Amino acid sequence: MIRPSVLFFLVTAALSAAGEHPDLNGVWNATTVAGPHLQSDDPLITNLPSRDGNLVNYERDNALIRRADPNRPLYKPEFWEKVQQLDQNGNEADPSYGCMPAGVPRMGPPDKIVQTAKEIVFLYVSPAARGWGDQYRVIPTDGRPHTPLADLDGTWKGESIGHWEGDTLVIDTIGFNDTSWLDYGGYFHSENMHVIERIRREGNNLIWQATVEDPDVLMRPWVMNTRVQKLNTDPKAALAESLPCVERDLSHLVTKEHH
Amino acid sequence: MVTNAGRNACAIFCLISACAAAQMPRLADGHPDFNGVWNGNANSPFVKSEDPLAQNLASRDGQLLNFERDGSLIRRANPNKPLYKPQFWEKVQKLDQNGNAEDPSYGCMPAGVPRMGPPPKIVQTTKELVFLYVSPPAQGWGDQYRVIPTDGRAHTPLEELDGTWKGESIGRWDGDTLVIDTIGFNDTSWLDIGGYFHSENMHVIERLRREGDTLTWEATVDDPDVLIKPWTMDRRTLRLNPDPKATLAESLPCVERDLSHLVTKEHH
Repeated sequence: MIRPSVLFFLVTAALSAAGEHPDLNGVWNATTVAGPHLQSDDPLITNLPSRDGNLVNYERDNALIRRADPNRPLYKPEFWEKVQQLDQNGNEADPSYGCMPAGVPRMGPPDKIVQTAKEIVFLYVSPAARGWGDQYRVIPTDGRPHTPLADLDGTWKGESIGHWEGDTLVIDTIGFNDTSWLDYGGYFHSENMHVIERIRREGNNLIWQATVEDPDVLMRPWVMNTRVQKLNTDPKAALAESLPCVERDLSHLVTKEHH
Repeated sequence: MVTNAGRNACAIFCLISACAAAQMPRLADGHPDFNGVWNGNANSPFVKSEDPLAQNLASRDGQLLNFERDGSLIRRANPNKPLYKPQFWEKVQKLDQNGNAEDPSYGCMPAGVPRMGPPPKIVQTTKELVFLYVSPPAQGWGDQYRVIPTDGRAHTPLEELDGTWKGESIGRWDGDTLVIDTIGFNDTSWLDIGGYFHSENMHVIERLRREGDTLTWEATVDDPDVLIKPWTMDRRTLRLNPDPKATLAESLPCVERDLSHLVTKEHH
């Protein structure tokens, strides 16, 4: 446990020269607490004795763990069948399986942040297995309000506006399409979805939390698993180039297994 | 801070470069400020009314009605082409003739450097510049970005670089001009339509400079493996979007639906 005085030092050491806001600049590509991944004290690990606590078959084990995660969005009863059907046909229905972008909030915390006094840029590297190509988000922090929802074309990333609440960056996003998913599992959403992300820096950790509000389809807001990224301390660290997405496999899949 | 007298002098002699330099928006480190949305294409490669080509498109009345087809006609009429070594002439011609199948940009692949050209948005800090791109809907490569460090680092040795679409870009300031030096390419991307392939040893030098609210981009392609001499691409000029709240539209993701339905080899 870090004593408060030490924590205070770590936080103040990270304050930006550009203002009194925390400095989020950097390459944040070392995931320390991957939300869905297995902790050593997780009971699931004892159910995977042949793995000896390691994820050998990454995709399949990872899918197993994510399915065992009790933290799910709670849909209104009239959508339960739809979610189940989308899930069962995930290889076809999940847009991420057809080279489409992940969108917000599925794209999660960024791999690199570039911060100025007016805006924050999130840069993403697509995992090779999914290969969506480069993705970025531009999040203004200049105090502008949202465009009225009716004037926004629904998009994958929506319209994100950032503001600081103390040392926490709060990103408010509206204006989505209804094509993207929140995660696999058939977790669709409506165009009225509202996503609130909270990002804060503690030492060299970046903590990302997201809440999904979608009263059209959800019983209550869904708080996604917290994710923590670790700062790459090499000042010359660079992002790898994302592989472009090439859809070769979809027509060859013979099972409905969906990682 | 410019004094009133200085301002008057600038009003009178505003073409004098010293005054232009004094008026240049700058970051705290003294380098020109390239931050902004640069999506007004002031000097596009398309036909101008005084261009003889406009008169040859009489039915268009100087306008480009069929954008893609006219655009490709104009680009093909452009005398500024990369000059390949004779042993590659046949290859270039073949790639060009089969462009719909061969051009990687037709199969949802990234454009890469230098084909992706100047960016519609730049975010600049004292250590790096980020170029953010919006794909044209007709091409739909999805989002693209480049990160260009300006912290004085050296290139990774070429043999240690995996060849990529964007390569490894390093920026430095040559006076008020940003010079971007890029190596470490794959040999998949093209320089433009026309079958303009390149080798993994390609070396691209881009120069960007700001003059008032215009950004001028020049690129030179050096590839002695396949080119007789370096190719200096057509200069492109972008205009600053004066709206401080201007945003980029989201790129459409690329969906390859058309390729298998094309019945001609016409390639825009």
